[in-house]
This record gives sequence, structure tokens and C-alpha cells, in this order.
Amino acid sequence: MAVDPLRELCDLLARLPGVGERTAQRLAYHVVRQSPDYARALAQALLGVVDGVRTCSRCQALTAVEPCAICGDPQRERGVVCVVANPQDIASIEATGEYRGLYHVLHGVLSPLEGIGPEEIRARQLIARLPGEPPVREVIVATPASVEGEATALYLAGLIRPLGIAVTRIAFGIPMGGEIEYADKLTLARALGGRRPI
Amino acid sequence: MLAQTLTLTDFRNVERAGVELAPRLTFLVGDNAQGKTNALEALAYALTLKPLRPARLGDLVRRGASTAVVDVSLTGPALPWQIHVEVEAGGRQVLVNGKLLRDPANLLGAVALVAFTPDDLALVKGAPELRRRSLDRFVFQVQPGHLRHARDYQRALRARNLLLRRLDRDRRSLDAFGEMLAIAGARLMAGRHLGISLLRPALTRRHRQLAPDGGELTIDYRPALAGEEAAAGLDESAASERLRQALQEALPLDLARRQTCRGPHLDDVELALDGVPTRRFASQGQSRSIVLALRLAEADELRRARGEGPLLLADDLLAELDDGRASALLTTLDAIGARVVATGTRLPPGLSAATAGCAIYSVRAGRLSRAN
Repeated sequence: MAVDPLRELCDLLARLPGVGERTAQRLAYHVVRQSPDYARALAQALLGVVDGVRTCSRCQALTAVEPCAICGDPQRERGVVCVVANPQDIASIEATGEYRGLYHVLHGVLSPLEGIGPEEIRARQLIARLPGEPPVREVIVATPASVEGEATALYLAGLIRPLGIAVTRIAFGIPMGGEIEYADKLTLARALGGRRPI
Repeated sequence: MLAQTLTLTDFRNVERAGVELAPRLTFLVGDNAQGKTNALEALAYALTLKPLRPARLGDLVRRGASTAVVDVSLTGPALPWQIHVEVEAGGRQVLVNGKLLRDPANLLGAVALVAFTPDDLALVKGAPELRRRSLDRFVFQVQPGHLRHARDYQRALRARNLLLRRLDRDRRSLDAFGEMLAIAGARLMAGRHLGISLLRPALTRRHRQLAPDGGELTIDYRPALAGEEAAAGLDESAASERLRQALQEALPLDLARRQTCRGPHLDDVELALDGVPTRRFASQGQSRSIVLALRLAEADELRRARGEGPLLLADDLLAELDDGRASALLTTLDAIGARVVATGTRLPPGLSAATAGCAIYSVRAGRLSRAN
């Protein structure tokens, strides 16, 4: 039986996170209605990602060049490393424009319940790069505020502190411009717990 | 917020039914096994996302149907709320005002709720787990963060127990998850201390009213972490430090037994009459007064914390109560300002179709019909 290309596209799109059957169908029909150039460009971009993107040997971020743009930028402050769980977290922090240091991507957090141990996250690579030139003096841990994210932060602190390097944890709380009355209760409770003197 | 209407579709044995909740008392009357408790359970499920009685999700769906649906409308000081819950054997989905609910904590605080079921009698003589769960459910409602602390603690505990069972015994991972236990555990204990200190005076008072010759009923927190100072209540960082120490000391034991042997997952709550723990001697009648006093004390404190009477769900409310005690109980609930939804095989004394603020539904073979 001949493969129905439209059906095949729908099936493949529906495997994407956050995309259900109906959205997949809408996307597929949309692609068909566009000019063929768009579909070719999209296919090319997908291939480009597969063939051209790998992890940066220093920070483990996804990149097309080696080292990645941030590790290769001479303007970045090399004594500070911000540790994130996922590659896309870098984009969020970069969008703030506040941070000028380097990054390290773990590609996960410690989660015994899902069988993810220290070998599965890239902690060893982090420790290996700390002595560098110049040596890292502060590691900021920006893993999520979940049990696993916090435990990962504690795990890293246990590894790094004995090396005489400062380990800090990002604060969690009320979003900027957020009205306290609209903050969800847990965020508010957390923000109160993490209060500091002014 | 106040619950106003309840609609259920294919929930347990009820194909379709609607209940208008009356301001004071909504009474579901019918013979046993007709579906009275099911309507009560649907309401409890929509507000707490936990069944009143232990059940798998599939048990909540009517035989022959694929999805059970419960809708509850609430009114409050600001805008009304619509809670829409769909349950299938494989999972459940909750929409609050048309939006998918991501964190149940944001629903649990909406309505102050006290549930009283015949199974609660086991609280008096049963396993500590029942008393911990009952206390935690109360604390969630006065301190919403408690839910997160309890969940974080459970998750860290499961993770650490898994690590203890593994052969590599990775000390650093054990330490990291042990530290999480110490942090979440101290918060969990602080919440339980708060809950007990709120309930203590109200419980003694309520029991004295229910059973004037029954002795003085007291409630005390008995943390599994031994030591008087732990029982007296430490501040959070001191409690955290004690837990950390206890975990350190017990590590060889934990490794040998392959599970975490210290911490608030082993706490108990002690109920005592004239200083003697009720676990050892309470009769059926004493147990009933004790549990009723506990639920009334919860209602008192929720009313104080919220400024409005809680919703009180009472399954088989009048079982084993004579007419005098039954009407005294209803008067008490009225005084607390509780909105009561109750079931029974007979109408309480003095309740009739004409009673103001009350609704009576008769339940038969899964069908509910308004009797007034």
C-alpha cells in the first residue's frame, strides 16, 4: 500500500511535545497550502539541525560552531559559570541581558525515580573545566526549584565547595511587576521563605 | 468560597444528577447502597481531587461509561468559580474556570472542607499513617504551602530509598537527597506543629460538650525524631539541623535496611483521654465522640482562619446517634456556620420539607430527586 505523505507528516508532527493530533493536522495542512519554497526551507532547516548541531565541548550547550558563541566570546567573564539543566534555559537567561559569565548545561537533573544518576548528567565535565585559565571562582546553580533540581544543586555544591570555589543558588520569588495579590500561593510562600535584609 | 451546585455524570452508580446546595443543610436520604455517598464523594473529589474512600480512578466511572464528570460551581467575595473534573481509568483532567489546572494546590484552598465518614473511626485505634494524613489535610487548608512540603518530602524520600537499594551506594547523591529530606521534613514538621497547636484547645472544648463525663481529650504531636525539644517545637532551621543529624547517625542502619528509618514519615499524633492514649482502650462509642470532636474542632479553626463556615461533608451523619444527640449536633453545626451536606437512612429529627435553608434529596438506585 502506498504511503500517504500527508498522513505521514501528521504522524511525525504529532510526536512533538505539546502537539496533539488536531494541531498536527492543522500544521500539516498549513504547510501544504504555503508555497513549496517554505516547505523546502523548513526541511532544510530540520536537516541542518540534525547534521550541524552538536554539544559545545566546554559548556555542553547545543551549537553549530566549536566552541559555541558564548564560550568563544572574549568579552564574557570567564570566572563565573551558570549551571542550567536544559540547553534552552540559556536563551532565557541571555534574554535578561544581566548575565555576562559562561554557562554549563547538565542536560538533566538527578532523578533516582527516573533512573538519572550523576553519570547521566554532565557534572564530571563541569568539575573538569573549573580549574581552567583563568580558574572559575563562582558557580551559580540555576536548576529548577523542584525536589530533583534542588537535590542536584546540593549535589554540585558538595562537589565544588571543597575546591574552594563559591557556589550560589538563584533566588525564586515574585515575578517583576507582579502584583503580590496575583502571585500563586506557593511562589509567594517561597518568596517569603527566601526573604533577605534590605 | 461557597459551593453552590453539584452536577455529576456517570460517577459511580449515578448516571446523571444535579444537587443545589442549601445554605445550611443539604440532606441526602435513602436506603443503603442507593448512591447517597457517591454524590457526597463526587463533591469531595471535585474539591480535593482525592476520593473519600480509597479507590482507583476507574472505580469512580460508572460501569458501561468511559468518563465520569463532576461540575461544581462556587461563589465567593469576588468572581464565581466553575470546577470541571473528568475522570477516566487512565487519568483525570481538571478545568477551573475553563483553564487546565496545573497545580492542585491552587484548587485545594478554594473551599474550606471538613469530611466526616464512618471510616474515620479507625483514626482512634488505627495506624499512625491515618492520623498523619488527617492532620496534614487540615494543615493544607490553613497553610497551603504545607501541601508542597509534604509532596517534596515524599518525593525526596522515595528517591533516597531507591538510592539506598542500589548497589553503588553513591554517598554524594544520598547526601543531596538526605539534605532535601532535612529541609522539606523540617517544614512538614513545622506545619504539623501549627496544626496541632490550632486544634488542641478547640478539640478539648468540643469533646467536653459532646461527652461531658467522657474525660478530658487531648491531642499531641509525637514526632518520630525522639527528644523532648522536637516535641515542644523547634524553629525550622533547628529542626532541619536535627533531622540532618538523625539521618547522618542512622545512615548505617538505613544502608542495612535499605530504607530511611528516621523522619516525619514516621510521626504520630496522639489522642489521649485523661492522659491515657486512646489507641489502647477506646470503645466504639468513645471513638465516635473523639472523631466528631476532632472534626468539629477543625471546623471551628477553619471558620476562624477563613472568616466563613466550612463545607462539612458528613457520610451517615446520624448513625448511632439518638434523636437528642442528633439535634444537638445539628444545632452546633449551625452555630459554627458550617454548610452541611450529609447522608443518612432517615431524616434527622426536626428536619422537614419546610425547614428554612435546607434541601432534602431522596436517593434511589442512583437517582436523586428533590423532596422539597
